[in-house]
Amino acid sequence: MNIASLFSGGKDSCLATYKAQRYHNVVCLISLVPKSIESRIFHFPNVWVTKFQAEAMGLPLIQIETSDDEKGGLADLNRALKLAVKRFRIEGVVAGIIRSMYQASRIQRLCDKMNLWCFNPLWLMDPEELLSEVLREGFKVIISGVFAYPLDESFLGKTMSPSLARELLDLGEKHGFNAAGEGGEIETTVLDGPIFRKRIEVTDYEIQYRGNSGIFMIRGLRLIDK
Amino acid sequence: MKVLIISLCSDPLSNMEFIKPIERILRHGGIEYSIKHYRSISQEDLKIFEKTVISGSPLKDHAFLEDEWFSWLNKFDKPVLGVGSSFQAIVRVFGGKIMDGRRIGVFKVRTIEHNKLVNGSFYAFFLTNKAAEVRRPLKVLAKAGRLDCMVKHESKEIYSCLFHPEVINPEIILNFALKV
Repeated sequence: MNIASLFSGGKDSCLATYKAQRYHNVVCLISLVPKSIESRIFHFPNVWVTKFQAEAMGLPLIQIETSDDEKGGLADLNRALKLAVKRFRIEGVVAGIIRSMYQASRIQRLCDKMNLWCFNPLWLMDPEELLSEVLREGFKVIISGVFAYPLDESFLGKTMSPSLARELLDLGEKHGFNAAGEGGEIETTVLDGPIFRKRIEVTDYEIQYRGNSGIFMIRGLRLIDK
Repeated sequence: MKVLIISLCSDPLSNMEFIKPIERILRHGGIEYSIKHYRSISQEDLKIFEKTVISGSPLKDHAFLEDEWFSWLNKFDKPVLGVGSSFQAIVRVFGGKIMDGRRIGVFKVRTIEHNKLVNGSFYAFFLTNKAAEVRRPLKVLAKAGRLDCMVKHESKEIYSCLFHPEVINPEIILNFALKV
């Protein structure tokens, strides 16, 4: 079956894409870029990197600007899926949703309306199980955003490792946040992995941190043959 | 005690969404289990396991409804819990009718009959494009609005939820495994 992956460039959408590729042809990535400059800068600072991740994975990318409001956002996703059906004859969609019933319901409704299969292979995974699998499968993941106490500036740009995963899990348990970051506490960017034909090297970056949140903004990168 | 989880998913990728969460609940509850696809179940399997949980499946996956496979439930005396789309199959085996009816998301459920799995009002996650008209020997245990969403056989320990208890009501699965 040809399927499209709803792709943010973080660990969840990469792992979901990887799992889907075991059984289906992932023929394109779909990335929604916030129209609002504020959203783009503060919540999705590295959304431009998805273009290079797609290139590194050898997959075409459908990138569509999306509104911040629910109705507009859904209409934009609808438009992106229609485009994927037309261009790549997709019959299904894979998403890296873990626990958000709001997101899952929205995508399920849309797929049902468009007669598309909907796959959520990370559905209800524990943070520990998820982080372990990401590491076991060989994804290189950096922390590109922190939005919860006590995650400070020192976490930004760090590469995920078993010890960092353990630290996040322990902090998550102690301070009541999801260590896998599904509640938006942590944003990640994937630079390499089993679905990448080339790896990404960050050549320039900027760290912004204020209050209890901060971003690791990738300013420059290059693709390197593996 | 050993539970058999029966997968209704025709696509292996869907198992991660519809089987794994049930598996995690049983594992965390210290309950022994095995998983089999419904097409590979033998009479021997049904004899070995003490209880059976039948999974749901994606909205587009109705392959299991084309089979007569579920007819064994008519003669089965061990406890069964069907979740999600298996509700349709269970209702149909016992003479009920399936009709179109989409319900996706979190909805309030209220039990109308005391039972061993869950009581009172609670919220549950639904993922269905079908509803069912329930007939005897099934009786309705719970409703979401006017929708019948949880049933039990009147004389056997066969239960089914139209919603997915594995999402926010794991106690229903644990109560089935430990108290029925």
